[in-house]
Amino acid sequence: MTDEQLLQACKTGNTGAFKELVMRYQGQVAATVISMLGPGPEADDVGQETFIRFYKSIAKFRGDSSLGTYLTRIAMNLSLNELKRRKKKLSRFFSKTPEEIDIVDRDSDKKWYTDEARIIRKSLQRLEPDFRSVIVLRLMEGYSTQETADILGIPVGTVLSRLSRGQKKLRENLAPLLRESHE
Amino acid sequence: MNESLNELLYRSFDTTLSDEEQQRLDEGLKQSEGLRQEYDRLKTMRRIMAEQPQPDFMPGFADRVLQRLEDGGDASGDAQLFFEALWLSFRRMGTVALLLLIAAISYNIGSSDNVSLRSAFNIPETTMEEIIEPDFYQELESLR
Repeated sequence: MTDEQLLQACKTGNTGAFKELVMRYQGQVAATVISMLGPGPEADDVGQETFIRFYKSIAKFRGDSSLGTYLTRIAMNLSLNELKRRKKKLSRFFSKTPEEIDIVDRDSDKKWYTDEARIIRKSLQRLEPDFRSVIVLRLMEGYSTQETADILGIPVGTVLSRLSRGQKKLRENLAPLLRESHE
Repeated sequence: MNESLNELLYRSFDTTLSDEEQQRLDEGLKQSEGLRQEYDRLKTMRRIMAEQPQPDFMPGFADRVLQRLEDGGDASGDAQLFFEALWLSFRRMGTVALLLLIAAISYNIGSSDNVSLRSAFNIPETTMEEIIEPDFYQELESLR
């Protein structure tokens, strides 16, 4: 079945069709959410919420953008909200921002990620959310600068300047890894 | 390294530069070893980022979504935020109230001669005669 057919079936309340769409796009949503929040139950929760929001507003989906892009936009907005909530929560107890707090490797991460991937994930988590979001969409998910701007609802010029500053910070964080790859 | 050339270098990966900008960048790359190194590092970093394996949720994700949909959809959304805010407000008020209580008890005990529950809460020593109307009290006494 095509996406269009599944969408039509979803609109009539067919949960089987909805499940098929979830399975088709969960990888794309996971890429956004896990890159933004790191792996764990919070990311899973935001991923679920992305699809629930989509299901509840399915009638509003007109197909102006692809379904994947539409879901990525919801996932990114929810991830940014979650990061704001996290920051608010942390600021009550610590003077540091979430980006300044060193992320502790979880055992589950060690199972799923290589050393290189863990260094990259940690470096990403150290970026402020505004920079992280453009890096994730443009560099990791391969969206164009225009698509990145549309997903985030910001001008292309802002995407370019955030990309530039984000990459400079990321390059500093990844310096040991880059030296290794270069040699 | 020339900062404006460095900026052009970063922009060149994500947008089309004007002819004049492209020419300046090409010239800079020819002349500056530092800029060439920066170009290589940036290219390597972007390649590494693009080649990262796509992460995925734990198995059974679609079933969890459907389960949540059946449960009403918003198990941990707005309702959770509301209760969290409520708890935080009460916790703050509770902490302030507890501190005031401790301060009051300390003051009461400090300003009285003995340590007792009565002195801690500054409860005045009253007799039955003071509480009950005198006529009724006498009536009670006569019944004894």
